[in-house]
Amino acid sequence: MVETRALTRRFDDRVAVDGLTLDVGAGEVVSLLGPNGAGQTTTFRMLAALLMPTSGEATIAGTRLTPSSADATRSRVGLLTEAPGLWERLSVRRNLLTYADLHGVTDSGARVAAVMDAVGIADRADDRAGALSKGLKQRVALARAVVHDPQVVLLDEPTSGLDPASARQVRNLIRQLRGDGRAVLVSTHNLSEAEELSDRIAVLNARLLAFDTPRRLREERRAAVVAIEVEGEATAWLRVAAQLEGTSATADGAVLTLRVPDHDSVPDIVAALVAAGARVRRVEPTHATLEDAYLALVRDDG
Amino acid sequence: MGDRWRRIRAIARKDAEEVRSQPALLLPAAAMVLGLAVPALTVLLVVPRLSGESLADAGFTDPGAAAAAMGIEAGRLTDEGLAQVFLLQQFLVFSLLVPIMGSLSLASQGIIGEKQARALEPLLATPIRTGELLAGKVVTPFVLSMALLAATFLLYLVAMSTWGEPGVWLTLLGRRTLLLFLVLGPLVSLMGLLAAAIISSRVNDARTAQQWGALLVLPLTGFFVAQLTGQFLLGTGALLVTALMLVVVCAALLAVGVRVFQRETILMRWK
Repeated sequence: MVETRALTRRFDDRVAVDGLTLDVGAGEVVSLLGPNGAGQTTTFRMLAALLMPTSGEATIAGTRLTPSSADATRSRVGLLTEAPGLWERLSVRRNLLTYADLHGVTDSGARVAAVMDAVGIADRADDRAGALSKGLKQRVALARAVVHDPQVVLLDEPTSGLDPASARQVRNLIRQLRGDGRAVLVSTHNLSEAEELSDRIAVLNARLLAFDTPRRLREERRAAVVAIEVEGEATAWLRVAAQLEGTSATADGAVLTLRVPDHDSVPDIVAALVAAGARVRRVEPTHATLEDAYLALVRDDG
Repeated sequence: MGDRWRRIRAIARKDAEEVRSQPALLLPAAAMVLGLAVPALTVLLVVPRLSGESLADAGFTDPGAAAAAMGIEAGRLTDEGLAQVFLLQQFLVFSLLVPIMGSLSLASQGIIGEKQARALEPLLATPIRTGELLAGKVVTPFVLSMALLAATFLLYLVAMSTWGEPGVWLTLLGRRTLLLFLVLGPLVSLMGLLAAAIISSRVNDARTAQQWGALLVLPLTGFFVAQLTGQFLLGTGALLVTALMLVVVCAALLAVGVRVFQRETILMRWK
């Protein structure tokens, strides 16, 4: 449903998105993770035909993105922007009807009623958008993003700043979008949310650092993280651990946590610590979290 | 209705509902209608009655010749009637402030309101085209400005037909007045709208935009003062030339407006 090949966007000398290649299928949720400024918003803006790529290509719902196909692309994509951006003096219904008209939806009244029902705001249809809570505003914005029944939905930080209950409701709505067979791309800084929602995760830092299922991303990093418990304070052995090539270490109480190039290097590390006088009590690979994998990827990227 | 008109109408209707939800937005322009008409009508109709001194005796240089120079068919007006016509025409030029200020006020509020609400990006993510967005954003302020200008015209018409010298009100239906209200009025309104759109792309506060836009008032004030002091009189021909100049200015502003309303420009450069 969404395919990008070497998608690149430059702003003067700065490369915001660098050679991004990924694909998202129908009924799939892909999360984009990355530090602030890593290019998620620019990627979304290109996929929503708001910005044209400097180079590379993108195909959205079967249409290759070009300046001449931009209008058609925008009809097939729903974008939830980082801020809800509602017209606060207007009713929820008027907000949505305006967007339905802008997208050329036929029988816009019925469609708006259907999406308000789907996101659970039908009982607030005639309330001013400005009178709604942040969570409800986000639901209205989500309804706005799908009022024209797009095949591709782009959600920029959909749960940012929401209380846990509202965030859960939004996550359920995202699952609903997947269930409807839409391709959903989500930008988030919430790693547990990404893990919970996503079929695959793309880690970006201007360029694509990794693109896989959450489980594989974790597993790829699992063998390379090891916890070593020593007698006394582990900080005493940080210097020894750090001297080993390709290894970085942190200490917490009696536990040294080392990120190592591969699993085979663990015996050498233990030997080096023992030779330096450490008394090792326990060695075990830790359960790497998505956060470990993400942080390692971004750190390795420099 | 084609998709294009549907999108323009959607934006215009949305803007109209926003104005309806906060009628105070119209107050400055509505106050200007009264602020211009009441002093003018006071000078024309009230002061001579209170002072007992007619306008004809106030020392204007041959108001009949002046009216003729402005292309007004004075007919069989009394001397007082000619003096009223002469002064009335000066004040009518100043009425063009209504569409300028109304357009500036409403359009800058409309565009900066979108920026402040962060509503532009979702709006741009729809299939609306640059020209359609610009057109949609000017429709409501334009219609309201024209309504206020029409109210100004009616106010003068009713007042002059009720309390003016016989026949003076008929000059309001003459070529010069109709040119002012039906041609120059819409043009200066359009100029104000386009200027508001361009200025609003660079500032984040409607008042700042309105203050910059108010510079447009200066040439009009100049005309008013120059006419009143007898430096020159804007006849029908001069008004037509002014209208042509305004068409050129509006075309130039439209070209700039379409550039600043490009999606990438709005997303990346509007601050």
